Amino acid sequence: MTSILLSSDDPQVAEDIAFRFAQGEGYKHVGLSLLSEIAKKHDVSEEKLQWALDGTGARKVSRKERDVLLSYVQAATLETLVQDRVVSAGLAAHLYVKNVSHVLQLRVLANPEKRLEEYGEQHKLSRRKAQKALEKLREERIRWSTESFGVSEYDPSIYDIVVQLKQIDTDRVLRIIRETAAFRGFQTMTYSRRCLQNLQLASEVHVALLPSYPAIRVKADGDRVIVHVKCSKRQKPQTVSGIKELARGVETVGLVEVHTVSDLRDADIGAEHTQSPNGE
Amino acid sequence: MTVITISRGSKSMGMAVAEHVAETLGYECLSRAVLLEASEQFDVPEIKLAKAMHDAPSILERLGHRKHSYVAWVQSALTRHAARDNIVYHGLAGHVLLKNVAHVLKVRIVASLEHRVAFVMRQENMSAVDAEHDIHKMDKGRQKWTKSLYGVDPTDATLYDLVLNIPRFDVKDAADLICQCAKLPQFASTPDSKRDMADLVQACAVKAALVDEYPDVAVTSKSGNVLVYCAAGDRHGRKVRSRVESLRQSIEGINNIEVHVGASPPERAV
Amino acid sequence: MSKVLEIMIIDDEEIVCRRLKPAVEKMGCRVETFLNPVEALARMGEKEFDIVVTDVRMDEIDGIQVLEEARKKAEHTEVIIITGHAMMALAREAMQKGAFDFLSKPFTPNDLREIIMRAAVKLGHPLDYEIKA
Repeated sequence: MTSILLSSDDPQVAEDIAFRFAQGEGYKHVGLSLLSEIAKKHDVSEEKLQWALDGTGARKVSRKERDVLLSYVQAATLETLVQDRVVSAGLAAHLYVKNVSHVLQLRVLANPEKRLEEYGEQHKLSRRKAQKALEKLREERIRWSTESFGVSEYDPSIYDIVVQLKQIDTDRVLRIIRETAAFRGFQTMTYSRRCLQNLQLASEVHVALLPSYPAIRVKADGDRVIVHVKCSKRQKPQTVSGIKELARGVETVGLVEVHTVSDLRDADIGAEHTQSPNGE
Repeated sequence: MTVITISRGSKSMGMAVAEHVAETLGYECLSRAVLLEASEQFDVPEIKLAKAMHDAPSILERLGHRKHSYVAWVQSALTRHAARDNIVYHGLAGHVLLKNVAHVLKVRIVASLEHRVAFVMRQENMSAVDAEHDIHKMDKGRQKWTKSLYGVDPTDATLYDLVLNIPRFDVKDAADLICQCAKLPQFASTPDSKRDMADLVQACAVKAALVDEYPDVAVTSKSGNVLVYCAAGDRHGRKVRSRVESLRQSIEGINNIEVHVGASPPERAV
Repeated sequence: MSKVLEIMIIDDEEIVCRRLKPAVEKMGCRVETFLNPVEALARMGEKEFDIVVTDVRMDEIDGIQVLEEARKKAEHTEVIIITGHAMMALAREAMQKGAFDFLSKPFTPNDLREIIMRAAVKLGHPLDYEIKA
């Protein structure tokens, strides 16, 4: 069963559509209310999680802390998504759920005139100042999404569909989602379900490793976990054993493979690697 | 009665979608036909018009101002077709030209770089590196072209009502979605929107008539009242004025025609 | 008496056919295996199969072509794609063309059995078989 990820240049728009779709179609709605659970689990403030997800305005959390907080959000969101028939908005899932065919990714662009008016009214700004403020918000979101997830939120090619709420209204958007979710290409298959499960396991291992090893990439394939870590030759033995110990602490992890690289961009090319069968 | 423009990234399979939409709705599917018509009307080889519509501006600087003429002629042919309604246009930048007409459904077809590279590798028997290089070159060219002509980035999603990522959809599913949107009452032509289209046809016709001699003109039209904007200069202004007077006879529906010398044209001017 | 499901398995690797045949027969199905997809398609012309399990990368004809041909010959036939070269684009294409499911290698016999059980339900002939861990 298809799951739906919604995003918008106006967060309220995505939230409204997600709520309405969940109500209408009997989907589970997963949104910002998940943050209280995440905050409790990791003993962090909900406010900080919101800052980490927002990415605009003055930087209220350091980059390192933001990455850790986002890893918590990512793991918790993926845990709900593996259940099927979920609609999610506000948790940036559109930026880290990649290449899973039964997850429909839709971006809704707010009616620009309406948004400009509402923003100006809300913040008591002239039209020109509101326009500038919205443009600044856009730039900040592009920077935040690129820094945190390596992709711009405003790139239309990362979504399955982008709809603008100018002449197409919300009711029609709901219908587009309903119809598209029924297309064969968006149905769950064993392979796509496994890809999502792999993403989930990788995210859990990422949470376990990130505080100690901030420069890593984690992939999972079944119970096999592959970690690329940036470290020097001198630190390698310590780093490899440290990562394996932490990764094996995550439930369902079997084999842990660690590759050390000098540059994470080389993660898939010519990396040194150490393999260790489970039970060593 | 709707006009659908389908803008497509290079090698994104948008043409197949456009043809499917046209077939499903019983609409005319246009791209080359517009070039052919412009070619006949203005007595210019089709290949030159095609190059004008596809090549990056830097290459065409050698052609001098003729590029502006070619583009204006194609725009005039396009708007004449669009005024007949029930067309699917999948040539360059139709969505930008027609953006102020309410009954135009503006669609963009995109595909991931990975998919486009695979497509080009198969089609052109190229390596991945060469295919990617070619695609980036084409993308850059199209962006430059649209930016130089309309001042917008064609990849900006806010220019469109709908953006679809092929091949996450198969052609039929993508076409179905587009057809459903096209049938919405919001995209049905109204007397007001038909008037806006008629104004655009007239503005493009006037521009096409003037551009060869006066490449920097911009034109607006509203209910037969035509405004022609041109660069400052007394002598220049006089020449333009005497030229536009002759257009009253040759272009239908002009009630009044004025020349504004040195004034900045409004955003909606062609 | 409930219908015995007719299942075809196509894979150019002999070991795959050798492993899967008894694993699926255990469920009470009748299984024919083919190393050559051309022969498999010819056999489809002679006999209707309920479920076809096919590899993708094979000589002469690939699994997607097998899927298309199988669906053409009998609309009710459910096709399960198995492959060691899984990519999401390929999987999506298979689903768009009517595949019932798509499974990447390596997989356990139980993985395939679970899918066959679901396909059997869809065909209206649920199997009386319990998958043991």
